[in-house]
Amino acid sequence: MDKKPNNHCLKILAAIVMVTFVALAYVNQQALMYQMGLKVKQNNDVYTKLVDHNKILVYNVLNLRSPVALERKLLTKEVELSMPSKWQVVKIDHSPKKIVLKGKI
Amino acid sequence: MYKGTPSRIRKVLYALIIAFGLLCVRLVFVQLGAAKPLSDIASSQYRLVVSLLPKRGVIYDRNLKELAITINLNSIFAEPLKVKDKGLASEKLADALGVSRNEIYKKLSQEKGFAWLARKVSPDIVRSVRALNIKGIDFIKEPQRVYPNGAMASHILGFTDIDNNGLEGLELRFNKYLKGVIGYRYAVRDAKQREVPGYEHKEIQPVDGDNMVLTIDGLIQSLAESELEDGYKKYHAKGACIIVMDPYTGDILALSNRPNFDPNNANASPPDSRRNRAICDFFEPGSSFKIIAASSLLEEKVVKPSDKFFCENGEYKWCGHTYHDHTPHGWLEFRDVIKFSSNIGTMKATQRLGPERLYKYIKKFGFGAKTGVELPGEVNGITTNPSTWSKLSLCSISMGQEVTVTAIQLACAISALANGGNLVKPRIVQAIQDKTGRVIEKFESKKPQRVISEETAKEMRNILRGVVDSGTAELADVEGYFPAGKTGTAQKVESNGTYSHSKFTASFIGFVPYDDPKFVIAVIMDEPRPFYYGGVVCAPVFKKIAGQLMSYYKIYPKQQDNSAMSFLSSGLKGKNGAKREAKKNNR
Repeated sequence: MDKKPNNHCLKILAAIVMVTFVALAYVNQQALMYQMGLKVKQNNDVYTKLVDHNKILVYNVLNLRSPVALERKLLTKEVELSMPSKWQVVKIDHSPKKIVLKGKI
Repeated sequence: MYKGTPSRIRKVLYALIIAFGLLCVRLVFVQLGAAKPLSDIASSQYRLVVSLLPKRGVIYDRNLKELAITINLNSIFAEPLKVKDKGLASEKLADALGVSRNEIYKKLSQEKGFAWLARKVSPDIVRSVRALNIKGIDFIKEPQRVYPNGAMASHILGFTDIDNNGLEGLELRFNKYLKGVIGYRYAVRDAKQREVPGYEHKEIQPVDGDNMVLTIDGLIQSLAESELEDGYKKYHAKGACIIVMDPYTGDILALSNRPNFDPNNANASPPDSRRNRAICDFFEPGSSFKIIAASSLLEEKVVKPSDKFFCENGEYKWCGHTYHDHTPHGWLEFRDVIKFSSNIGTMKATQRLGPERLYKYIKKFGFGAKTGVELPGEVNGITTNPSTWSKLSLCSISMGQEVTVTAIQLACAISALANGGNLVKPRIVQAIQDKTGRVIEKFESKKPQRVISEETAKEMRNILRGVVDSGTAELADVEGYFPAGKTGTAQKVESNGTYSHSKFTASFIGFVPYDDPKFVIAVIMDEPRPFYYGGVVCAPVFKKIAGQLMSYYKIYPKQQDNSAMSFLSSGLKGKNGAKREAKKNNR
């Protein structure tokens, strides 16, 4: 007879603990989700920042090697470049067979 | 106390029941009557829609070198209500941003939640503003269109506005391809208006813009621009333009105008410098147009290159009007009429053709109609119907007056002579590709239309070789490459309708080499000074570009050209032979 109220109390207590545990688990899950989201966002921000920085560097490289910029640079440094005349060009035959033949002759 | 307690408790209980009942009524009222607007207000407080901007497509040249790209730059904004010491903040920001303190102070003093301070600024400026650590000043990334080659090809590429919408050139014409489609992320925000990560409801990914591949060659464009710039400055011209074209496909390898502008900072340039003169400006071509009269005369076989015409020693009265030649000539063969650009010889020859047939060839060569190049703002030029011509019109039109053309029309017309008689459609866009490189739209070269026979075209090439070899365009000659072409020097029309004696349009249109043309080059200068002849002003520009182009394509100069020599011996009699021949005839 005495055990009955105790059993009820235990059941209620167990239910309260259970609900509390589930609630805490839910809150913890939400917090974890937020933390993970934040981490993903931070990583994504770093990635975006690096990609953007890379694009700016690519732009700078393109800028430096653009014919217009190169010409301007050469002009300011007074470097005179010109295409070689035909007599200034030596054609080298890469065919080893011909070199051997020429050697024999 | 004991007796009264239940009654009081009851009263409290009743009060509570009534209050609860009222709350229930209110709840029913809210749920049935005002649920929608209230839930809208609630969601607007925590929902957040983030725009995901697409990347604008890249514009490449024919060698897949980038001509226009997009980078992300930071824009700086203020939340004025959060900025405490506005005076101090304005002072610090003014130094970092390089603008006046008052301007910043005005923006910070607004009773607003948001104000732009600077859009799309360089990383250095962002660093310096970030270092100030002012509360209420924040940054946002925005895509910025940039052109690594600066002003090069600016009239082709055009430029975009602050929101990356094309405003000029190909950026405008192909905006719908380049722009892409904006995406959205539906998220949740906290009390401080920050996005709560991990609570995205829905995300619609942006679609990046498509890339474009042009027919332009970056290096040829650079060469053409450099030489045009030299000529433009040397002769103090009001404007200038150049077109380098493949005569067989119509591919535009380079197109440039002067004055030009830097599309990276287009707002700093006057609107006049942004006009693509090569397609938007029409002008009377002058003697360059004689190629049309000559081609039609030869094609219709009413004139042979060896036919002789008396050039009246430089002065000829016709229908009450006196025509002059730049240099007096007596009897000239037709080929020499073109070589020395005799107006009198040309008009006499054209009399044999008549207005209807000349007009037919003008139209066949594509004048008076848009060429269809993929650039915005192209104009037709003006060619009138023979029914409206006066008695003088036939003569005037044969020498390039009473008719207006664009530089690109001239380039197409001379391409027809260079490629064996076919009128090509100019093309500046090869293809549009998505970001994986898959071709979405291909712009094939249009089928050319035959305007003259191959024989006529060959004959014209020989005649035009004579123009460069010993005619009016000797300054265009490139040793060993045998270019050909025609000069033009047209008087401009004054506001009172008369021809000016001080304002001219100089032109040279030609190709190289004359026997197997690889390139067509058209050079036009508007009001050059002090010299104004096409053969003096434009021919040297042609020469420089032609020589460099041949080197670039590893085409070595020929020591001796046999076909040229045979032609010279039959018709031109050497460098000064024709002049001697002309003198002999005069005697």
